[in-house]
Amino acid sequence: MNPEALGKVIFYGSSIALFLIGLYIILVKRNLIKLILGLTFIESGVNLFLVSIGYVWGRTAPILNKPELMETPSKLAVDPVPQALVLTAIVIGVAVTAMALAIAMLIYDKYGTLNISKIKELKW
Amino acid sequence: MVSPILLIAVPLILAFSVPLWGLIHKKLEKFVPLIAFGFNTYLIFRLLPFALTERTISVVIANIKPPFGINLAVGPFGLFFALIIQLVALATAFYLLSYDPPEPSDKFYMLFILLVLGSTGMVLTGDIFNLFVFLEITSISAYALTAITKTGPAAEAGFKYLLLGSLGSTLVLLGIALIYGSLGTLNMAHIAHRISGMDSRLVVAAAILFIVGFGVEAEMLPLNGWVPDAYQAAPIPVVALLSGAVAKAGLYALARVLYTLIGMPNIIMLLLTFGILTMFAGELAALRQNDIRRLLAYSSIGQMGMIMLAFGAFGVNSVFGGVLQAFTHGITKALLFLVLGVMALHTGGATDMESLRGFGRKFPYWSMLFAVGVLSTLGLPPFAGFWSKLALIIGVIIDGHPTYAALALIATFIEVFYFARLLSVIYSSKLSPKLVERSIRNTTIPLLSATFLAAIIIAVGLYPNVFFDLGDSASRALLNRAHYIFSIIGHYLQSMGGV
Repeated sequence: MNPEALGKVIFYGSSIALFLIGLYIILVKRNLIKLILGLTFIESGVNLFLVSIGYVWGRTAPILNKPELMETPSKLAVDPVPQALVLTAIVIGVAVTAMALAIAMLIYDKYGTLNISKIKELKW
Repeated sequence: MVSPILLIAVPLILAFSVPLWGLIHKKLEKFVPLIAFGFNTYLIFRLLPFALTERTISVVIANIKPPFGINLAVGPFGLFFALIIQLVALATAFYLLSYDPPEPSDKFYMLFILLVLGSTGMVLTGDIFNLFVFLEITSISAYALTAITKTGPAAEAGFKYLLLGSLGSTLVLLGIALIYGSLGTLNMAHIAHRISGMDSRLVVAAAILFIVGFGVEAEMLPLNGWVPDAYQAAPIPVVALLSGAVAKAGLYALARVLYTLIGMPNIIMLLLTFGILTMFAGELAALRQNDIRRLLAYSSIGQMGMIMLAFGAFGVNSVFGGVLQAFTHGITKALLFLVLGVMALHTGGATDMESLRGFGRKFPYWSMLFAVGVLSTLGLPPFAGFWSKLALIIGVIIDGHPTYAALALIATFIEVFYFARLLSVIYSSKLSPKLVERSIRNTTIPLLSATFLAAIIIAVGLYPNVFFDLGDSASRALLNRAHYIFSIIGHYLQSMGGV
């Protein structure tokens, strides 16, 4: 297997693996903190997937700090759009995680437990 | 013409200026949402004549033309939904003037404006990643507003909504990644233009990811577990917006993505199945409810299911019925929830049926407003709901699905059952012991805002012509993919040679 194909397998494989681990955690675990962890796993999986879509083997980061990069960026650098998207998605993910942790704190305050099967209305 | 970009820019500035207004005087804060949405409503009415002409304008941002830059695609379909959102937001913002917000109040108003801003952005944007960003703005503010009262049930409802909602939006992002990976573009018109060249298995996968992702906000069946809890635990003005703005924006995104981007009839037909399941699940669950908030929440799910059914029937007539029904559903549910908020003041916060028994005898005008909402939901003349439900059912029949139209009728009969029970309790001659004399602050402001919504319902019911024209151009604009593509990136396609 040549390194390019191997790289693709590693990138896509690990993004799918991250996604599935997260999904498993959300479906099986009963602890609020673990659920939030599962959510961040899924987010990382999707973010990694987005970055790997724009990655071209053997090219460099789309930062135009060298003269040869300035001349033909489209031949030397990877696609910058997915990286911009992922930056946005990471920021959004942090906001969601912070929000989720804040609510989890509130739930622990009110019910004294983080186990969702012990909290009446969180069963579904 | 006024620039539609102000619809997003002005509320954004005002939202983050709320704490500054609070520094001058604490009471000034509550006027900020009203200023923002009043201005937006004015703008929408300036833009509406334009929505009647079935054109879609592309608003270029930062001088980079689509398909490369981010653009707004303001067409009749988006403007119609923006109108629904703004009317509900305006009435709710007015209602807020006499509402004691949960502390911290400046953050409450800020999130409130951001929620409306996000859903307005969703219906106006022409870029699919921008749609995702606005979806996140909407939903993060909605999670926070659901949990803002900091009680146990509110925190639970907020967490449930957050878990489902962020899972959904991550799936949307995955769908966007699939599309970008195959087509290399994020502009919706450009995607629509190129999608026929994409691997059809990937298109189906992306479409399913979008249905699941936007289905959370649109209250679609397997993903609407958050709806009853959030409607029960969130503050009343927020609930009015959840059904009037968030659900409508989710529905818009579903329709826009499936009709314009994907455009495959087989996939659009999936909405029929989901719509029917959602409709019956909502209406049947509503039958068993004793709490009026939960009843209205399930009824809202049922109505959203009916609208999805209309969108799934894939024809200009049923889509026409669907957009009209979306309008009346948004306005009517907002009216019902605002009236319910005042009812709850008289019982000390309880909203179950027994505590409100006999409310109609004591407060005839308020109950009349409530009855207007209920009768319009049921589809009785002379209210707006009559025309929209009639258009929906006839439209679905004309587009060749008489069975589904019959199912929508059956759902309406189920609605009659529980709403008749609700009205008979409210107009009962026995008086609930909880309805004792309370010192309640002035209710003129809630009264005015509820009357405003009821007046819209009656005015549209009596003079439906403008309403029909708007719905007609909105539905035809949604189905006219080629026109959408051409109005956004026509110049680009021409410069590339070949249209």
